[in-house]
Amino acid sequence: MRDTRRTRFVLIVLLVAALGLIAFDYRDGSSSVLRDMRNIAGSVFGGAEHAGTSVAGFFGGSRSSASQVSELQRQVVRLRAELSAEQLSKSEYQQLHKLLAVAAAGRYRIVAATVIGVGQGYQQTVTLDAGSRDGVRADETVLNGQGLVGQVTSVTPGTCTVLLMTDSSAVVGVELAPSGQLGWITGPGKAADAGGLMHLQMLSSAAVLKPGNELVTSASVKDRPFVPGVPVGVIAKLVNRAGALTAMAMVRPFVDFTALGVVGIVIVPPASSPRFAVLPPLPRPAPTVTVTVTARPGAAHPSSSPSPGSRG
Amino acid sequence: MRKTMFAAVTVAIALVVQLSVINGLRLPGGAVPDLLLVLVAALGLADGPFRGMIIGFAAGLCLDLAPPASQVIGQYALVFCLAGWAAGRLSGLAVRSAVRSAAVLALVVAAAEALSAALGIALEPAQVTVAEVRQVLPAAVGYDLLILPFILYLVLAASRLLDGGLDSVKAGSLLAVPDRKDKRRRQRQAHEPRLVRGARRPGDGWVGGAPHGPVSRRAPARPVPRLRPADGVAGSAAGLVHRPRLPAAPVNLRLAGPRRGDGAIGNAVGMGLSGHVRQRGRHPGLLAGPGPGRGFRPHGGELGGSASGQRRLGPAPAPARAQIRFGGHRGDASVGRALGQTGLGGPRRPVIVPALHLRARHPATPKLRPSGGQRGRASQRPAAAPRFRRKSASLRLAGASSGLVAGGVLDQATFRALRRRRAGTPRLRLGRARRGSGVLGGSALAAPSARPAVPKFRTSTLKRRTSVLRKQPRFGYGRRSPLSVLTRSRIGGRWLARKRVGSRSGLWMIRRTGGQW
Repeated sequence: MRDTRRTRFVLIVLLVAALGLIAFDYRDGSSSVLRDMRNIAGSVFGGAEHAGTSVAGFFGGSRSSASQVSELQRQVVRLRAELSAEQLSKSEYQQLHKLLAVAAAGRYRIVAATVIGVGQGYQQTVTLDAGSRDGVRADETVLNGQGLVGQVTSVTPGTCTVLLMTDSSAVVGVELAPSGQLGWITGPGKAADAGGLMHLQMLSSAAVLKPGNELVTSASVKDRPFVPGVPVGVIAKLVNRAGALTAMAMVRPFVDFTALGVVGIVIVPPASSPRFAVLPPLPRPAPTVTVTVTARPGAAHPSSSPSPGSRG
Repeated sequence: MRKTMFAAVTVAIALVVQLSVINGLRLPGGAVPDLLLVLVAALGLADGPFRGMIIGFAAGLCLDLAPPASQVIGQYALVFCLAGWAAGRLSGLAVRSAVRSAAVLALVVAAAEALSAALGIALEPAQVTVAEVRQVLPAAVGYDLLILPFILYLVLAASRLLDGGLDSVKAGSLLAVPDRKDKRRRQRQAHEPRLVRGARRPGDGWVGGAPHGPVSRRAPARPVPRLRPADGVAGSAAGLVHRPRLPAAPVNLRLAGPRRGDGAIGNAVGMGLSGHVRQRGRHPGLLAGPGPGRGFRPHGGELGGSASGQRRLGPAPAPARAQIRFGGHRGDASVGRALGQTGLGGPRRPVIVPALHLRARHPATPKLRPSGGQRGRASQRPAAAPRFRRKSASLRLAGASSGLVAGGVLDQATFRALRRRRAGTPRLRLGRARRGSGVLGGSALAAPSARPAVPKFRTSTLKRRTSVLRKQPRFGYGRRSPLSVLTRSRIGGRWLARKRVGSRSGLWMIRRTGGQW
């Protein structure tokens, strides 16, 4: 209202500045100036986001049942030594426990980190509280106790940004669990029509897909951005598209992306591919156990209890 | 300052909360409320477009740079800057109404969300697809509208608190609905007189140079004619100032017969006056160049065009009839540039210019001394062409040669009028200063206690004919217009100058009302 000429002038200046930034960043995304700007902003806002997450976690993090609190606190104390002053809630402890199990199974060497920020708008990105000071570099695999989370896209000294696997622009090369056939999956983005399922497309036309098949990451070149063997998801349903050369399917990811907490960044890939060793135990149908009881004279008592041992 | 601090702190808090908490929420529809956008729009609504767009740009740039961001830098800066500006611009629609404020804010927020989605589609087609936008955008706008009233209320309450201070806002009224509270405020302030600084209007200005600049750029709206309180100083009408309540006694100027060495007012007229020196083939109205007949001498008057007859009255209190004669008598007053200025000084009322017949064979020819005597003889000066000069209502210092008719140069129409008049005896009348009256002698330095008398020129009613009187040139006054350039006869030609082209301009304009030139 007041001082309209100055307002218009400054508005034009600001719009031109914004458009100039857009054009500059769009043309040359790896510019050192913008990277420095992002680094500075990362160190500033990363700390703030860390504090904000801590405050939020203080209010909303204790969802534990009271009976396990005392036992968990002891475990927390033990883990705190490992994680150097990282206070964990119960859910975080569980996540970390699984993560360590996965890392041990795959012989990954990981850096544990916590999600402290989530991307704005349509991006499926998160910020972790580990950065280049912790040995994290760009294009490294991020996983948690359930499976593959994403890949590191940019690193600042204290934080790193992870492109989630569900982002529309994320592509992951995968390997079908029993057969080892190759394919790739793309993220669904925020569109709900996919129901959070990712698209799987196989490379070979001879690949046979069945619902329930599990997928792990296939090895990338020099293990970047994805180390081999990380569980990705399970085929939920097949897509029969007329005219498609190769088989397609929808994959439900192992990771619950709505509740990301503690994740691990693989900083040293395994010496050899773990193949399918990291995969979670399959919910296989219980084997039909046929118990044949032969009455023998003189036998003490027949072996009963035909309960099949379920793995896990 | 406090509002700036408030805006910075709230934007920072909202940014951190947005990135670390809100974006992590999983709400139905796949979208989350955009706290920062709503906050920016609310701040723009409360603080106006200028601060709104500054805040928006800063907040958007922070959002572009804050860690999880992978979008093109500047995208949110653009959107938020526009959102803050638009909210500020539309705040006029939302005065004192919470509902309308919320409606305006909802409009701005929805438009900003749509613009953000469009930018995302345009810049990052891999990350933002149309299907995503179609699903997420309505949900995002819906969540924004959900949190909008709370943010708006908080921002407005805080803004009012920061405006009025803690003491002026009661604890209860802070939590009131904004419109009710504003009404109460208005009732409380109804008795207090408020002074509002008036905006500058065209025509405002300073007399004699602005305080911050050497040159006054605008003419005063109501020019007060001022006479310099000095007697006998060149360019002043001495003796007039000491008696502010001079009677409106006319000063008669008598036209003497043409004599050798007679002159006109200024150097332009002078050429045409004396017939025996008149050059052949030259138009009598355009006589400006030096000629052999430029034999004007100052006839006893003071240099610089003072009315010496007035001065001789001295401090005597009866300035009743200051006689100024145009003639060859020694000791007669010369009019000089004061004549030209006064004759053209009135902006709004037609001032009758001495209508002198300047034809040489006619007996009544004014003999005027070329003014500007301090600068030397008239023949040494360059020819002054008659000009139309724009001057609205400003006073001019006499020394400025770029003046209206500085140096006593009558403009062309005046000169023609002078020439057309037969036996008209101009009479210099001391009138009361009127609105827009010019200055005699050109000095505008003294502060008048009342309106001093300003001499005006009038034709004598004894000898003039009414039919001729109707053909007096008049002066128009109006606002400046681009067409006013055309009224300069140099550019637009004589026809345009006569045809009132650009008559609503600030130009001094001479209108022909009838008859032939």
